[in-house]
Order: sequence, then C-alpha cells, then structure tokens
Amino acid sequence: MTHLVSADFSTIFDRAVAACAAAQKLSGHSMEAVSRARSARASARRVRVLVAETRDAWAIADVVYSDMRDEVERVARALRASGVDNSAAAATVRAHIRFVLYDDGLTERDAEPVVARASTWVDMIYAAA
Amino acid sequence: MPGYKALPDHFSGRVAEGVRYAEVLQRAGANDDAVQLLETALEMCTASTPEIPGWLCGRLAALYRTLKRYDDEVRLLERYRDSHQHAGGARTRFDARLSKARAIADRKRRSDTRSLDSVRKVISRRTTGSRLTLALSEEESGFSPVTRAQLREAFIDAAATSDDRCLGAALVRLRDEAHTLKHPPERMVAALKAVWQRAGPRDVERDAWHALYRVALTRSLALYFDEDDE
Repeated sequence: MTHLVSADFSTIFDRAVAACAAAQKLSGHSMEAVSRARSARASARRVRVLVAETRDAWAIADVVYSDMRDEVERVARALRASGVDNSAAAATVRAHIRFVLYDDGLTERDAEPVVARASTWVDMIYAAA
Repeated sequence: MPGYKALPDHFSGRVAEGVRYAEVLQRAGANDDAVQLLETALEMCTASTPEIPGWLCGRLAALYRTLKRYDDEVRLLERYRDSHQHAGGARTRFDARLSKARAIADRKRRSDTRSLDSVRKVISRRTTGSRLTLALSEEESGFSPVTRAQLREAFIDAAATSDDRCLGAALVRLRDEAHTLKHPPERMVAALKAVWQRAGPRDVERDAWHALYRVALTRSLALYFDEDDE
C-alpha cells in the first residue's frame, strides 16, 4: 500500500519530475539524431550543431535531476520520520511519480527510468539512516 | 538596477523595502536573488491591489532582460499592460517597452534550439494544473466494450455513493485486460482517461470528480506494476 496522504508532494516536486522526464527524452532524441546524422554522413557542420544540442540536453538533464533528487529525498525523509518503512516509502514515491508522468501522456519507455531512479534515491535515504 | 536610480524615499511599505533590498542584491551581483525578491514583492503587491506599480515592474523587467529571460520579461510587461486599463504616459512607455521585448524574445526564440525550448515548456506546464488531453478515444483504446462499460458505471457509482469497491474491481479488470493484450501502461491510462471524461455526471462537483480520476489512475498504475495489494 502507498502512503499518499502522509507524503508531502508539492507542485515543485511534480514540476521537477516532469522536467526530468522531458530532459531524459530529449537526451535520448539528441543522441539518436547525432548517430543518425553520422551514419547518413551528414555535413560536419550539421553534426557539430547536433552534438552541441546533445550537450545542452545533458546539461539540462543534470540540473533537473539534481532538483528532482532534492525533492525525492525531502519526501523520503518525511516518510521515514513519520514511521513509514523503506518499501512502502519507495512504493509511495513511485506511485506519485507514475501518476504525474502518465497523466502527462508519457510512455513507459520515458517514464520508468525516472521512476527507477527516484526509487533508488529513496532506498539510499533509508540506507543512510 | 541598470538604468534605474535608487527608489525615492517617499515610497514606503514592505513592497518598497523589497525593491530596495533587491537593488542591494543586484549591486552585489546576486541577480537571481534580486529577481526572486522582486517577484515576491510583485505577488505581495498584486494581492492587495490589481494595478502593478511601474517602479516595480520596470525594475523586474530590466533584470529579466539582463538575465536573458526574455519570455518572462514579455509576460511581465503584458501583465502590467493588462493591469492598467487607462492609457497614459506610463502605460505608453511600457507599451513601447513591450514591443521591444517581444521583438527580442522572438529573435531569441528563433535562434534557440528546439530541444531546450521543449524542456522549458514542460517545466512551466505543470503550474497550470492537470491537463487531460487525450491521445485516444474510448473506442480506439483497444479495450473491450464490456470493460469500458464496467469502468464507466464504476466511476459513476463511486461518485454517487463514495464507495469505491466497484471501481476497484473495474480497475482490476482493466489491468488484467491490459496484461492479456500486452498493452503498455500509457494505453491503459488513455483508456481510463477517455472513459472518465465521457462519464462525467452533471450533478457531481468538479473537484470530487477530478479526485476520483486521480485515485483511479494512481491505483490502476499500481495494479499494472503489481504494487497494489488489491
């Protein structure tokens, strides 16, 4: 069972999650575009532009994942403080993130890596206690 | 602030104090903090009066431009224009400023990469509340008419009786069918949304109906990923 009522999920949390999923998707698309351009022997200028876009997408992903991690850890600490065990806390976080991402129209391919990462961060908070 | 003198002493109150402190922060090079402070001052100000003061709007717009937040600058100036219905000297000056800000934002947007733009859209999107656009209609969702009908009735029943046992059973059936037909979760979600949107009874409060959707979607995903004890 999840602890949706006791968890402190804010708008910031939801925005961080949505941004991560978007950044992850864009990183994937950018990398695919670079490899497609290379295999199609596109001009060096075109490849340089795509590589620069990929680098931008990674930089954004780094920033937004860092924001999301802060948010997930805050919620995990709150759940731990209220006596929720590790597996229930991780399930709660997963349930909320899935709601946000699938409601937003994301596919399993883009949503589940974000869910898995958040779940790991929750486990790390509990392991560190 | 660039191009701005210190706020004259006759301006007083918490908003004016916020602006003065933002000037200090800006001089110290903490532009981001200065913007945050001015944004807070702006919200504080608009909570008590509909008109945005020019001395606050102008400073914040200038900082947005410094930070290359061109779209925010345009939005702020549009807000200022909307809050001042009567044309006058200040309004005319701000209109001219808005035209220039739009031109800069437009130029910048064209040179921006598409990928960065779409991330920004996602980041700002969730502030506007739940969006419920559908990718599929109920019929296109790939779920059987019986499953969809059971789900629709369960939604209506749960809204009328506050008892969600029927809804739970309908969600289990939806999940089972998704697994059997090897539908990805997003397809199940699209079906659920389609049914929920079409079922909307007139005599149920909008918030209660949305809450029901939230519960059903969360539960269906938990079921799909075997995280619900049913």
